[in-house]
Formats: sequence, C-alpha cells, structure tokens
Amino acid sequence: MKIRSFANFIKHDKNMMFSIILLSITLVMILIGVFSKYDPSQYFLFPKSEPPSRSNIMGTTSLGQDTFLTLAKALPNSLLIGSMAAVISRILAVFLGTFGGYKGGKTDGVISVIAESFIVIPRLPLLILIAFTFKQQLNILSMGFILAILDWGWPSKRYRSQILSLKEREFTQNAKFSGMGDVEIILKEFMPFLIPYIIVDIISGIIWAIGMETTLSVLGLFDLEIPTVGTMIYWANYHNAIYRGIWWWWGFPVIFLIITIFGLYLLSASLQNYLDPQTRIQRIKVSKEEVKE
Amino acid sequence: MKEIIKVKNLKSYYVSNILDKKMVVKAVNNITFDIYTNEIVGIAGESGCGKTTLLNTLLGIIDPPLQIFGGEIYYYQNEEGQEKYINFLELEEEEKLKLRWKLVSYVPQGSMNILNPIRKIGKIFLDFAKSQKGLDKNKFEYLLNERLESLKLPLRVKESYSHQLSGGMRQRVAIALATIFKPKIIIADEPTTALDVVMQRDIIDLLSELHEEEKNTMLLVSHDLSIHANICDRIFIMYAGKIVEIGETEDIFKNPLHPYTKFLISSLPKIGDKKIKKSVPGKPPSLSNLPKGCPFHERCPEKMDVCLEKEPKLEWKSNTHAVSCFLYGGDDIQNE
Amino acid sequence: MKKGFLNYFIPRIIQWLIVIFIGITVAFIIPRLSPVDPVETVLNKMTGYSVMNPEAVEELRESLQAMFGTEKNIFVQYGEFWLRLLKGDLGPSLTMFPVPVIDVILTSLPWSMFLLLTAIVIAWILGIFIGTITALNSKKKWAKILEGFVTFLYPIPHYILALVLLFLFAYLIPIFPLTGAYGMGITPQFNMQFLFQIIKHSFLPALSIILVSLGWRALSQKALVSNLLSSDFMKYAKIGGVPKQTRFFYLISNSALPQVTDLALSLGTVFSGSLIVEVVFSYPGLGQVLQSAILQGDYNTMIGIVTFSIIAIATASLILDLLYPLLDPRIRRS
Repeated sequence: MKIRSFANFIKHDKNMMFSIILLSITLVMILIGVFSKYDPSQYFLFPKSEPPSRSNIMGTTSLGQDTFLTLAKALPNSLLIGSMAAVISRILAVFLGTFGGYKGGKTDGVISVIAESFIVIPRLPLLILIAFTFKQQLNILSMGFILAILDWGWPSKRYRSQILSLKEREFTQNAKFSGMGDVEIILKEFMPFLIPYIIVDIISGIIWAIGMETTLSVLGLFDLEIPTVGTMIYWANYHNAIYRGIWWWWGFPVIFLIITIFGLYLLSASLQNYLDPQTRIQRIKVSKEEVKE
Repeated sequence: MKEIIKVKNLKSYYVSNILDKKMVVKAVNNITFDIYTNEIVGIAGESGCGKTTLLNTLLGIIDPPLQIFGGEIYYYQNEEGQEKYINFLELEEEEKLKLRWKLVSYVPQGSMNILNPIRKIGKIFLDFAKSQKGLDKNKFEYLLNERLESLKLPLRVKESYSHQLSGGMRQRVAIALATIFKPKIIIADEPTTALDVVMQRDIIDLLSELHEEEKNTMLLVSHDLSIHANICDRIFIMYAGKIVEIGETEDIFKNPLHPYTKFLISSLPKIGDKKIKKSVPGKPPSLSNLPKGCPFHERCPEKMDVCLEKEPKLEWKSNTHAVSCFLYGGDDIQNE
Repeated sequence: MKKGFLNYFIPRIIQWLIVIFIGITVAFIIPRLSPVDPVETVLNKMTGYSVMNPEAVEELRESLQAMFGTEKNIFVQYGEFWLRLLKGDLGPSLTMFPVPVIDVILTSLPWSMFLLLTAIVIAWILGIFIGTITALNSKKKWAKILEGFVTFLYPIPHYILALVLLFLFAYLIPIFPLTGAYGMGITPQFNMQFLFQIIKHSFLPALSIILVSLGWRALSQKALVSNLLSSDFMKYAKIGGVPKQTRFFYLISNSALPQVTDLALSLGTVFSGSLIVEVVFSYPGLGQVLQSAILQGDYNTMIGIVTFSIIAIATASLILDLLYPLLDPRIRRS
C-alpha cells in the first residue's frame, strides 16, 4: 500500500512532475557523457569558437572542443562531486548530531558548540584557503571531501533536534527498559524515522556542493584539466568568452546547471511535502476509503 | 422565557478534494433545537461527534473546507425596544462581526493560548474592542477595569505579557476578553479540558457567577459529563453529527432514554459504587462514511431490525425531554 | 533581573569566543598542512609574476619565514600568531609588500560594507514583505507566480546569478556598467553626480545578492506566516473582530522575531555570496582583493581575509543576538 500511495502522490504532485522532466534532461546528458568516447582534453579537434551548428549542436570552444560533448562529460563530474560531498557530510552530521543529541550533557554541549561554529563561520573564504593550499591534490574525490567537512554543521543540528524529540517518546523508554543498548536504539528505533529526512537533506546538500564546486572552479581552485561545469566556465572566462560573444561556451553549462539544480530542488520540495505529517494524515484517510471500496 | 437561539435543520459539512477523491464529512447533520434566555445548556459527546463544528457554525465561522449545506440559525435581538430574529447565516461578514462579541461570544479551551505573546494584555483588549466602531476609549477603560475586578484580576495585568501570567490567570483573562461587552450568549468550548481539578472548579464557579450576575445564556461544550452535572440546566447529547437526546440535567441523569446516553451516565464514577464500569463498545462511525439507518446502531446493545434501515427523528416525549430512538416508537427521518 | 540578564548574555559571549577560537585555529593550521613548502611556493609564484630585485626577494623570504616560521616550534608560531592578531596585525601583503594586509582590507572594506549592508537590509525587508503577501493570498494566481519566482531564485548559486545578470544587463542590454564602483578616470567627490555613479555601478552587484537572499527569506517567511495564521491567537483575533490592519501587524511582528535570528545565521552565506558577486562585477571590495590574492598567490592576504571575515561575521552575529532581547518582550522580562 505504501508504494501505491507513493505512486499516487507522484501522479498528482506538480513539483514532482517538473522535477522528473528536468532531471530526465540531466540524466540524458549524463548518459551521453558516460558512454561517449569523446576526450575533452584533446584540444583543437574542432575549429575554434564556432557557434552552434549541425555538426556541433552546442558550438565549439576556443580550445577547439565540442561544447556539447564536453558538457556531457562535465555534468556528471560536477554531480559526482556534489553527491559525494552531500553523502559524506550527512553521514558525518548524522553521526555527530545523533550522538550528541542522544548522549546529552557535556558531549552534546561540545558537539553543539563546534557545529554552531561551522554554521556561523563564512565558508567560502575558508574553502578558498583550503583549496589553494591543497591545489596540487585537488581532484573529484578530494574536492568532495573538502566540501563535505564544511557542510555538516546545519544538518547535524537538525538531526540532533529530531533525536531530542524522539528521545522523549514512550517507545524509547520501552526500548530502554527492555534492555536495548544505546547504539541498538539509535539504529533500530530512531533511524527509520530519520532516513526519509536524511534523503531529502542529501538532495539539498548536493545543490549546495555543486554550487560551491562551480564557484571554486571558476576562481581557478580546482584541477582545471578535469571537465566540470565550473572549469568549463573558468576556461570560458579565461578566454573572455562573454565579451567576445562566445555565449554558447558558458551559456550551455549555466543552463544545464540551473536545470539540474532546479530539478533537484523540486524533487526535495516534493518529497518534503510527501513526508509532512499533515499531508500524510490526509493521504492515509483517503487511502483507507479506497480500501473500503 | 424566550428563544434566544433557534436552529433549524442545520447541515454543516467539510468538503475536501485530495488526490482527486472527494470526501464529505457530515459534522453537523440536520440539527434542530432552541435555546432560551437565562439558561445554561451543556452539549455532551465524544470527540469527533461534531461539537466544535456546531460551535463554529453558531459563531458564523464558516471557513473552507467547511460549507453550509442547509438550515438556518436565528438569533434574538432586542435593541432599543425593537425585537427581532436575525437570520444569522444570511448576514454579511461585516454584520456578523458586529454581532460577535456583543451578542454572542466565545470562550476558548482552557489550554489554548489565545493571547498574542508579544503584546501587552491591555493593548490586546483594545484590539478586540476596535471591532466595535465608535468606541469611547475612556468608557472602555472603565469597562475593562470593572471586568478585571469582577474576575478578581489585579489591574496591573494590563501591563503584563501572557507568559508572565499563571495558567489560572490566563484563563480568567480569556474569560474577561470574551465577556468584555457583556454578551447575551456565551459559548464555551471545553473550558475545563487540560486544566487541573482546582482550576476546573475555579472556572466553573466563575462561569456560574457570571451567569448569576448577568442573567445571560451559556452554551457549554464538553465531553466531561460531570461538568454538565455541576452547572447546566439542560443537556444536549450529541452523536455522529446529530442530537440524540435533549433534557433537563436531572432527567438526563436519573432517567436517560437513549442507549448512548445510558452508557455515558453509567460510565461516570459514583461514590460508593463498586460496580465495574463499562465503556461504550466499538468506535464512533466515520462522519464521511455514515452507515445506513440509525448512526448508533452498530454499537447499540438494544438495536432492533428497523434501526438498520431507518433513521429515528428527534421527538419530544414530554415538555422537556426529547430523544431520537425507535425504542420509544416514533417516526423516522424520511417523514420530515 | 540582573541574573537573567547574565544568563542570556554570557553563553552567547562564550559561544562567540569559541567560534573565533576554532575559526582562527583552523585558519592557522591549514596553511601549515600544505604538502609543499608555502614559503618557496609563494616566492616562486611572486617572482614569476613580476620582476623583483634580489634584496626585496630576501626581505620577503625572511618575512615569510617569520610568518610561517617553519623553523620555530608550532606552538610558538601559534602563540605569536595570536599575539599579532590581538594587535591587529595580519602580516604584510605579499603582492604589495610591505603594505600590511590589514590596510589592504580596510581600504576595500567600505565598498564591501556599503554593498553588503544595502543588500542585506533590502533583501530582508523585501523578503518578509513578499513572504507575507504570498502567505495571505496563497490561492490567488499572482501569489502563486510570485512564489514560483522566489522558489526559482532560492537554490541558484550566487556566482551563476551574478554572471547571468552581468551578461543580460551589462553586455546584452548595456544599461549598467561592466566593472568598477564608479566610472574610469573619475575622481571621487561628494556630489550627486558621483553618488549617481556609485549607485549605477553597485546596482547589479546589489541586485545579485538581493535576489539570492530573497529566495530563502520569502520562502521562510511564507512558512512562518502560514503557521501563524493557524495559531490559536490569530484565529481567536479573527473571531473577535480584531481589525485587519492590527492582525497584519500581529503577523509581521511575530514573524519578524525569528527572522532576526535567521538573519544572524545567514550572515556567513550572504557574505560569501557578496565576495563572489564582487569578483564577477570587478567591484573594488574584499572579493576583488581575494581574487587577486588567489591569482598572485598572496597567501598572507588570503589568510588575512579568512581571519578577518571570521571575526567580523561572528561579531556581527553576536551583536544581532544581543540586540534580540530588545525586540522580544518574552526574553526581556524573564
């Protein structure tokens, strides 16, 4: 019945509909990129700075690359970095937030204060410092990791407050009295509640991380040979693409970035709506009527 | 004794559209009754029986998804010697507003926080007074002080914020706010729920005193029959959106007619009574999916064949006692 | 009353100290984790960027080594770092040696402050306004479109929005200038013409910052107002005939309070956004300084900006926190 109600929900939710449309576009690009044998690091394979035409549907760059195929390689890279950053940061946040919230007392105090610091401190200057210091070591994996360690603050607070409220519920006391260990309680009793929220949260994390990767790459703080949305725009700026009218070089990456980000955002908004207790109750009522019929 | 509220065939339903399915919740399902001046009427029933919706409808708060599907409400007004019955539901919002607070007012549940947390109490009273145009500020100040004193509230309460008051004081301020213009009708929704016994006593006494002094009409909604026993002159028993029994308090307790009423009464603890209490078996029906026939028949220990097919009418068995149940003969609702 | 006073202030001041402590320590540690010798890297980059005479290079090397003190014990370095910091010394800029970093920052700071403060205030007020009217008119078509608009703005990265605005309104339809804070070859004066120049040049950067912040502010305000509308006291006020304007005031005043708190929390994000926006529009604020520091490998300036911004944002956040009781009577009186 759960799957049926979810399928029903998808059919009717506008957010979800748009999200699926947008993310399908992204997915197509990613698939093309994954299966394409094109190598963007081979410069001057095509005539430079050509506008979109039949042979190059998104034109060519000043480095003689095909924009479309380069973007097809770049988009999955950006998403990969974003996803890694989001997942790692949320794992960290769940661990710290849950641990602090459950234990309470001094542990909680210390973790909270540190989390608060990571929220207040402006992250871009710090990211710039880190990326500059480790410039030689920057690749998809390390960038994901760097972004992750700066994005766990807020989520850990949210999970902590969820844990705090779950802690007070009756079933927790029951579990304790029936001899469940702390870790067992957290994993078996609390996690099922948290997981839907964590999934929605990861999507927000991806959005932030992709934005940050783009920003850092544009400033030149990444391995500029690796194609990502950010590095494409970096090279476009390096060659003054805007003022030379080579709009396709930076324009298509921007468009596809926006499509991806917005698609992800609508997905998270729709899922959040689905998880919202109020609408859940309404749906349960309706589905109960359905069962009767 | 004049009728101060006349309700005729009132139908008040919630209509909602979720995932392309239409759901109609018949919260107030064809209700007719009269309420008189200078009496305290209790409305008793389980949660979900439609009590709150009835109150909202009586106050004219018809916000979607609530809709009126039929019926009328008449309020009696005596202004400068002119007597008339106002068809309340036909009024414009503006006119309804004018009547609220002056003619009929609302005391909310004890646990509710109806005071703006960041506004001084005195200012809140003024805000509510603004609904009555052409108000003299000094006169109002005098009214306010008088009202606060009569409820045994210190005048400095006007300079306080809601969080600085104790629970009991807050409830009194709520009552003061509701009755500032000495309305002829006071509707109280679960005034004692979520309060401790001492505060419950306080509130009941307060309401009692108010009634004594101002000779107004009170409509008390509560699922707690003991409250009704304490203060009400008459009691209406509500079930599944309908009124199933009306009677004077003593009658209802000594001689309950409807099987549901009998259950409610027998489940009340009495001093010295050591019998095991039985609660009503089963659950109330879904108001969006009512069964055929009498709405209570599924849980009724005395049901007959006719109860599954036909719905009983609310009929007067004496001057003061009415019941809707086939056990006492009577017609079914189709003949209305 | 006094005890409550302290109870509120002291934890916040301690938090402020800790945030600064953690932030500065991180800013201290990171360069020292560099796999390459920072001193030589910087020197190489600098001498490759411009021709310097050998004496200058030696002076630079000494100063860099004193800065990064690769010979000294790390705890000693840390201590000296703090001592210098307390004196307001962030070391010399490497590209403009020996001009102190703090001077470079303070020169560009007014431009950044002007941009930031204007953008923050406008975004906050506008966001609250939009959020409120979309919540109150949620069924109307125009409100839904407006809500869709701010929803679209919310997830867009600052850089992308700034870039698009630059392209659309400075290049494609050249209404606004491409770079700078005022025109080329114009000397700053206190007259209307100059003021107009400033506004023209800061319009697009400010707009970029405002639009991105608007998204979150309006969306969160809509949620706040929707919640408030279904709260007991709002419903009761409606029943009791409290006039519409007064109830609107109730909504705004009750929702403004959590929005002040949220403002304090979002300062870091909006500051970061302003840095990148300045880069896109070549606006002569901290962002510009940061970008040239990156390009020229001016490590000192980078560290200086990180340090400065941590202290500035943490302090601004603290100030907002301390002002909050003045606005919320519930905190004031307990």
